[in-house]
Amino acid sequence: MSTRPDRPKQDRFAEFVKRLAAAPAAGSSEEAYDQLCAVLNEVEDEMTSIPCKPELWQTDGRMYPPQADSVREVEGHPRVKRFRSRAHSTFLGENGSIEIQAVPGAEVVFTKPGADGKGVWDQ
Amino acid sequence: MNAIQSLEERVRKRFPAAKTALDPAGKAGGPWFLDIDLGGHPVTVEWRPGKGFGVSSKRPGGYGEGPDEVLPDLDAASRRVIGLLLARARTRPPEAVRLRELRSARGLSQVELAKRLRVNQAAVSKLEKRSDLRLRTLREVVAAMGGELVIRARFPDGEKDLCFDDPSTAAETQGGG
Repeated sequence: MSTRPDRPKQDRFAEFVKRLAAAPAAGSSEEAYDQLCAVLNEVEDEMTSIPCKPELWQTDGRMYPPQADSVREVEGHPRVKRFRSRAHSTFLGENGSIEIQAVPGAEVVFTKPGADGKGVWDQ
Repeated sequence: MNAIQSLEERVRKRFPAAKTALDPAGKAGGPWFLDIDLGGHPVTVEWRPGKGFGVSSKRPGGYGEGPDEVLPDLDAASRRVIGLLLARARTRPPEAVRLRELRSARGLSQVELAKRLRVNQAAVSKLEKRSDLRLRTLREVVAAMGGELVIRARFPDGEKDLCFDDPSTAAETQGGG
């Protein structure tokens, strides 16, 4: 039972990017993916009463990490993977870098270098 | 041609001016996306083979949410998408989601709202999971949040707001149009 108000989605997203930025830089795309999933799930568990049920597919108001089956190659960038969700593309570099862009429009809403200090497009 | 490619073809045939971008799945069985924009009105369709079509309007904020509406087949999805583009309308997430988001936007917990409604927290939780609500219930919930329920009827030639102050009457007021 949640006795705290559910925080609005905008607040939860802001907290997610804040914690993801503060986390240690990842050293691989797998580590970056795991880190992104862990941080988002942690924020949602703390800030909303909506249980985690990604299998539902239709929105339940909760934010979910990119699903593994949504991965795509990125033409011209063999060291980058892209995960597509409803309104974002999430790019993960082999060096652990992360970039989230809005779709459509490609506005960058989050970017973080990998453990080598390089961004997704600098590898 | 698969189902989402067929959907794109139907949209482009109906709306030659629409911009469409198909984002194919990277893995067999993975989701395809179709991004549509007609004169600045965007609609996104996610197709999961075997699961159907998820249709969504653009909404601010958030990340990684599922689609607002799920349609079972190509014909249903086509009708819905074409209808949304024609009316420049937005998709509707499940009522439970909208009610919960409304409560959280007002800074209320389920316990607090329950107190205002003079019910227990479990009743509020159950309410927020329902797919259909009586108008009287929705009016009471919105009032408990400090608001007033207004229902807007939209017609091709204008709109009218229907304001519910009293559960026994519906006062009709002019609005917009």
